[in-house]
Amino acid sequence: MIHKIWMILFIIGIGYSFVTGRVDLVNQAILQGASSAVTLVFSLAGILIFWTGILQVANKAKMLDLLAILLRPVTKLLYPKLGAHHKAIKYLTANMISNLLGLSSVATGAGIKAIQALQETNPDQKKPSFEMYTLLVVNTAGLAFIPTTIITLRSTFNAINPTDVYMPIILTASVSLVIGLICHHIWSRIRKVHSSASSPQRH
Amino acid sequence: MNVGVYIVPVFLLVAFGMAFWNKTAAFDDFVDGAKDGIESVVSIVPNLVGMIVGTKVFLASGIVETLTELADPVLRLFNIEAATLPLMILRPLSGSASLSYASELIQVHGPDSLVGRLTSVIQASSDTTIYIITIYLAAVGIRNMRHALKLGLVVDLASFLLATVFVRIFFA
Repeated sequence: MIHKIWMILFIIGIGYSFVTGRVDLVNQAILQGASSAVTLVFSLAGILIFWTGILQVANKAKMLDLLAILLRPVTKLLYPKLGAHHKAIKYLTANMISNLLGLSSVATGAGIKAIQALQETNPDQKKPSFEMYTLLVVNTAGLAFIPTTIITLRSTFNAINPTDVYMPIILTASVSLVIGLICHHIWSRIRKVHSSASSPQRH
Repeated sequence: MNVGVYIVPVFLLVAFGMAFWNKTAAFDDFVDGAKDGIESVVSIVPNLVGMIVGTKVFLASGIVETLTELADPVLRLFNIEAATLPLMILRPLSGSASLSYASELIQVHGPDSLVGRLTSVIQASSDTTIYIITIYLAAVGIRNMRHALKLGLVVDLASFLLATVFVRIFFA
């Protein structure tokens, strides 16, 4: 899907520039786009590298284990049919923690391990299970307690108080997450989506 | 509204406190993790270059202006700033594309303007839905993603509308 989207950007962009006569701007976009991508990476690299380092410190210091225990009520609420000993639980927790900390690349790694563990006990392996939909909704909602990237960006452009958007961000993301979960539960009931907890774990 | 200021320092304090208590080799751990960080930063450079050039070409063609003009009456109805419409289109598609567009909007309009704040909230309170659904379901070989996409896009639409509401409530 990402391939089609990427090519459509070029095909529509170049095609429409013939209509509007902006071909010179397209040429300029190709030159500037490439170098601005590299500049963007370098401006964000420092803080990303710092956080992956700190996450490893927190991991070794057992702070992540503590967070997993603290977050157990939340995983129980989100995945009610999944027992505490299901293989997916620790990855689901790690995914949630890193999402909440705004570490999206760490979250993606944990999320992929979680969905693979859920697939092992998925009764119909061609269709996503109830828990997989929950995982997808949680991840697409983008709820984070530390929106590092946007705060960094705002301070780069000299915001008076870079963190003043904090409350609207948290409120928007949590309410849209709840809306997503409600839709997911209603749809799953109508379509009788199966649960990953309903079949024994395969080895 | 200054709770946000404390989150990072408190997180660091707890992490270092526990590292002290458990006598871990904190600096070695930091360097290890940071090396992984460098690797993932370097590995996203090709994706970013490809996506950003694609997005810039798309934007340079002027199609977004045409679309925004066409959609303007509808946007007014919902009280949405027209300048942020391209961001709403890009946000579910690509993290790098929407981040670069958000950065441009914040630079042009200023971080403390209505558009700048709305941009910040939209960018931070939703995620790259299509990318996430694609890679997660691809990881387990499930091709049936129609229902998941619908759900994800409902969440995105909800968060865009909520963003405009909350920004106006907090900064009116």
